[in-house]
Amino acid sequence: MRKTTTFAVICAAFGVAGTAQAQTLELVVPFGAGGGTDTVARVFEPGFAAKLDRTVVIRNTAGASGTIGAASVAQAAADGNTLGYLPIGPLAIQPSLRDTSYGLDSFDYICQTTSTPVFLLNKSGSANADLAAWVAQGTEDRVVYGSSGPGTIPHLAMAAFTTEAGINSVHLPFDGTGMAMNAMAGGEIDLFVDTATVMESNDVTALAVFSPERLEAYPDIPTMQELGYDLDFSVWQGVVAPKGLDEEQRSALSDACAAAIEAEAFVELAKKTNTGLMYRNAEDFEAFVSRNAEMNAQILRDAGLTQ
Amino acid sequence: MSTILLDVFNVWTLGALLLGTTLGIIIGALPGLGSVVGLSICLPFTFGMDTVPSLTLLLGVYCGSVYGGSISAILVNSPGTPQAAATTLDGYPMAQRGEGGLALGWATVASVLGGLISCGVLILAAPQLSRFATSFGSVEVFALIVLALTCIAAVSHGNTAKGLLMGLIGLMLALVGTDPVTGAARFTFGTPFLSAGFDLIAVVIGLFALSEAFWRVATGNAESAEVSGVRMTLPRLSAWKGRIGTLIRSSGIGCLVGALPGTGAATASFISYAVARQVSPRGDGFGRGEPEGIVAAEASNNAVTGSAMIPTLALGIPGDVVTAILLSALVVHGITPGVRLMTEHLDVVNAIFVVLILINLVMMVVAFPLVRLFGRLLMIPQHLVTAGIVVFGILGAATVRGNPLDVLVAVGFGAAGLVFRLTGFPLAPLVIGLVLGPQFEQTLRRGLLLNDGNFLSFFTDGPLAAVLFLVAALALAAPVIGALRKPRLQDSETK
Repeated sequence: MRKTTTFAVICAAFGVAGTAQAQTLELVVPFGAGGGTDTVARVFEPGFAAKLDRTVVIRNTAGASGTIGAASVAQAAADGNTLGYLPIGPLAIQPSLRDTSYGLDSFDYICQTTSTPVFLLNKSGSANADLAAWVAQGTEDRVVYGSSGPGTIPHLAMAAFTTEAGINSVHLPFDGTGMAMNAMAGGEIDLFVDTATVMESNDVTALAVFSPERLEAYPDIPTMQELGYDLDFSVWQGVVAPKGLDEEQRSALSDACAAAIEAEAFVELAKKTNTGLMYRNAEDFEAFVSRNAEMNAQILRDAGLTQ
Repeated sequence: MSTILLDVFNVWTLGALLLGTTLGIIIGALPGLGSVVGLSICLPFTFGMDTVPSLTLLLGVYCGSVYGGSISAILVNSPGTPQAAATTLDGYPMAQRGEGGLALGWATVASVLGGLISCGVLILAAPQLSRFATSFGSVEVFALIVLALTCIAAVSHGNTAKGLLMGLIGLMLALVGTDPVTGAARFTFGTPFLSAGFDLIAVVIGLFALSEAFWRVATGNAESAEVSGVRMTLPRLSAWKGRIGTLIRSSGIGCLVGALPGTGAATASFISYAVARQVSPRGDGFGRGEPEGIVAAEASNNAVTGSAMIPTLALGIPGDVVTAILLSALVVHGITPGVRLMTEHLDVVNAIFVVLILINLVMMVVAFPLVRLFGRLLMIPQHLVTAGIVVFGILGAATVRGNPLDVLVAVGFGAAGLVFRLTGFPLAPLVIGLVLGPQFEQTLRRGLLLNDGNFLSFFTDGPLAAVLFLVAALALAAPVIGALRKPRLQDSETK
């Protein structure tokens, strides 16, 4: 009897764990709650839900640089009940870095929501005053650059820069930006690439920005192009659906997405976090992702990270 | 000063304080719902609250959950959180002796005092300690992790070979997943779900909570009579004699480890347990229900709660997932965390100081009714308790990352844990290996990258690393020297 009860409850637990998903629209965020992507997604969700007039639930499926969450979107039924809020990493970098169960053509593209330029940073008060000084050090000796993990934008942008500048470098991957910033404060790494949020909240200064033109908010920071390196990097996010969504649903979702980006709370958050708002509709976003993924794959090949 | 009082002593903040701490203890005590899950659940609710109450709620959940893990660790041998894994080592043997209430008393007082000591360190020395923490480069952290690994020998009392083997298994399990330097998938057998590696919480649930339930079913062992009706009894003041040193030392270890990025409360409690076992005159009793073992584990893991704020507040650098969530709550409220946080938002920082102290005091008060509640829960028929452990374990494993494989991992490790229990292999070393494995590998490989692959340069890297390596060597050598001396003593006695 006792063993039967125990067994029955164990079975019930498995059942609950399996059917914990109700028939609402599920927005998969492939990183943990409280992370950068999650925070933006949670502010994006109310506007998106209001326009669709549906209940939208955010599900955090973290792990393996976001590829597990992205895979779960790719495998979901294309009924418009499961969407993914994915950033650049799992969508346009990881598939060329490792064997993911999905590719670019596993998704139908809904919209792009943000695009945030990144900066080349060094420790404030560093002995090298500008980029030329670092290039000189890298030519004679070496520079050590950090990243928030292999295949992240901080890694890719630096790998592209060291290839372009032809300097000797060592790449030290860390478990996230926080630990890398600690290493920069302690002098273990020389250079790091990240967004304005990271620049503002740490004791670091920008040497250059990886955008085609100088930014309105930071008119004194030169672009990489001005300094002689043709490099353009940004971190971006967007909404995707499993492949096979019907056209009507896709355009309705795309419209709701456009409305969500204009919602006051979203604009406000973008300002607070120095996130660049960038709406691209379904076709433009698809074309952009495809271009971007091709560029990233080339950088990974050049840096010897993939064949 | 008056603004701090207004910020803190209002209905919202005090309500959040009580609610957060209580919720945190409950979340911590339930196997599987660790600090991060608790904070993730509460985070969306804070978006509509004011800054100070929302931080209070999150801090309460954080501190409460670190303490709460000890309740189930002691009463049912299933640490509610990985941070409390070291607490089972002496807590459960005490509960088996019928001293569960006293064990909880030790855990509570040690937790509260450890938490308060770290608040003091945070308030008085945050800028200095944060600067010291940045001098820990990859090589220094590697040396610290090596020191922490020596505690595998310390917790595998009786059978060092079995303990070391389990530690190795833990280290090897930590290799499964993504290579931290190249990003390639390792030992995943082509399944994408394994590319994230084994989740620590899922493994801890399986190894401790589920295997405990399986073991009870398999052996038909119902010890309900011994744990029923637990009431917390605080240890007498005289019992603290000679154990104060361990409390202060463990709190100090917790403060230091907490201030380093990427380590955390589980690491701190294992280091502190190993050191206490070496230093304490009661070291031989560790693992057999010695209160000092509980003090070492609980003082240090709760000391981490305050000191984890040090890099967060002084440098704006989140050292772990918990502080990253706290920082994201700040961002949502329009406060940019960072190096200028203490100068630009001193009111918020001061409020955090006051709130942290209050949380530790509230924890002491709230602990009494909550422990009674859990004691009551254990009075229900044993088979229901066993089933309850399984339900919460499985649910916890399913929710932690939303990865369905984690449920299978938990059940698999539950079965493995049962085999280990039946064959006398200690479980703690495996968890130690798994907790420390990723840090061990990452710091080792970063150190090698920096030194052109020359491991010998680690020892000449700087005085700090050299000292830490020396301490680790001493920790390893001490039992060997002790073992060599003991037979000689016996020889002279027999003569």
